Amino acid sequence: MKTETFNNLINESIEAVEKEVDYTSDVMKQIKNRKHDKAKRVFKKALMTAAILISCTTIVYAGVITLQKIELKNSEDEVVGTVEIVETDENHHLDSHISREELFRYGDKLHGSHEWENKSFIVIDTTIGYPMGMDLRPNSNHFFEYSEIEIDGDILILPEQLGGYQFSSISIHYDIEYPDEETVNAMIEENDEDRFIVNEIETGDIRGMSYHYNSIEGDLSMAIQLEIEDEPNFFRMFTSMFESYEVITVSDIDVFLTESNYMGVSYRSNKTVRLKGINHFETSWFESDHNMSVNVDPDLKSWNKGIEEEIDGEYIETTTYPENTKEQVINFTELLHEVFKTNE
Amino acid sequence: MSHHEIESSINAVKRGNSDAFENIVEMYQRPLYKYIRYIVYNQWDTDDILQDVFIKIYTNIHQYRSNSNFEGWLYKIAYNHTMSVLRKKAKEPFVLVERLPDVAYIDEYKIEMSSEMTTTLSQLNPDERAILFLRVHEELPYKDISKIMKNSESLLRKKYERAKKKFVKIYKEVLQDENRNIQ
Repeated sequence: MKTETFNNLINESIEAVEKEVDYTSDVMKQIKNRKHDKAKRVFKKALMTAAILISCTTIVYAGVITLQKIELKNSEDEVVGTVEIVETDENHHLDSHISREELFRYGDKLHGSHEWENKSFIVIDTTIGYPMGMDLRPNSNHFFEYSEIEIDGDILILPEQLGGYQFSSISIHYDIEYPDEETVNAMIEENDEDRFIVNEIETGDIRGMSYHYNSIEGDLSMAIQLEIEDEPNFFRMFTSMFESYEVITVSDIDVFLTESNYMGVSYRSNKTVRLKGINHFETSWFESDHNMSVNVDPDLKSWNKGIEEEIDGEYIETTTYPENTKEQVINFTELLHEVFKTNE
Repeated sequence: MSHHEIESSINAVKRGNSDAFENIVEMYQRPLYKYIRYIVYNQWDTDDILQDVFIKIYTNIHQYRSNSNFEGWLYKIAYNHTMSVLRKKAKEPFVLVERLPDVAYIDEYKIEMSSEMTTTLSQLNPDERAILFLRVHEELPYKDISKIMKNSESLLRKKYERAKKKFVKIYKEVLQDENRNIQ
């Protein structure tokens, strides 16, 4: 289909949903009544969160930010974590591409020291009109987004399942679609090897599986699911494993991929690789082995391969890996080793 | 309304004049309605989401930096909130029942759009519809879409190409099915 035809079809379909609408009076009425409603809402949410919020102390720093310290209790009434919340102003805008180092610098700026680094932090960026946070404990630098956290006035609302020390297991939105657990089990039972490849992993107290999943469209989707012993969290993220252990030995894993926060690693080899201290590592795997892009955080070492370019509105792959797939794998392995070496 | 008038209304709201927000609602309700409805593909959810989006815009308007890209900022809030609502809905146990459209809704939609297109679009996911809207209809560069959808430009290119391929494939299949039925 020609691009012009495609564009026309899309534009027509978008024009078709257009409708005379008038939300003005409804919206304005809500705005006028907002203060009253908000008071009720906050009270209700305060009740809901009473189980996990034990104290909430507000400290104002130089009028620039508001820092709130919240102790979290589990159902046994034990303090299991501390969260500090920073409300950013427009001069401290964060986005999901910020690196851990940048965030540390940001924290230093707020606190004038590095002491805060060992605390549990959630940075709330309100400039996007939506709460977005980050757990800054040394073993985690995850972004929290979307519906996982709600902020309303002085109340931080965590989903019940995230109460206590479960911050690191907050799910991060992936671009790729996982098959759910039921589907996975069904596929394993059916032994559908063409569409589903499972590699078991066992290293120290980490065990899990990596999956290759060929979607119906023929795209290769990849997922990793891991379990940490005594923490039966089946969908635990691979990246959290990175963050939780200083050195991890991973073997026989073909691909790890995360896209939403640009962390992840792609590796395709039977060799064992020791991975350490990866912060940002974007991989993309697009339909064939000959088109793989790798972007590594500049703080580590900059690599860009497999560039795709847009030419006349079309997506053209202008760079490919060497035709010899074996060579490609070797190069990629070397790249990984080189990157990791810089962190040892 | 000119850019200057929009900025004046924004500044007035920032200063506490909530009535000035009415201008902003009037100005942007139609494009935002179109955008949200295209993503959620559902009239009722659109109504709720759009009103919430305007409340979010109002409560966060002091965060908007004057003379920056206001439309982009609106699209970003609308996208975030829409996706959040959809994610929450996906977790609801009775979502399928709730989402079943009634006959009136189907009729209304069919009047506006061909059945082939309705079927095709319904098989794209909300993210794919969002990127088609922003890229094709709004003609935004990937750089701007990247700010709205919080994805890298390279990832968005891929998403767009995948959405396009998927759309074309489904659309052709639907047309073929229609032809078979006619014969």
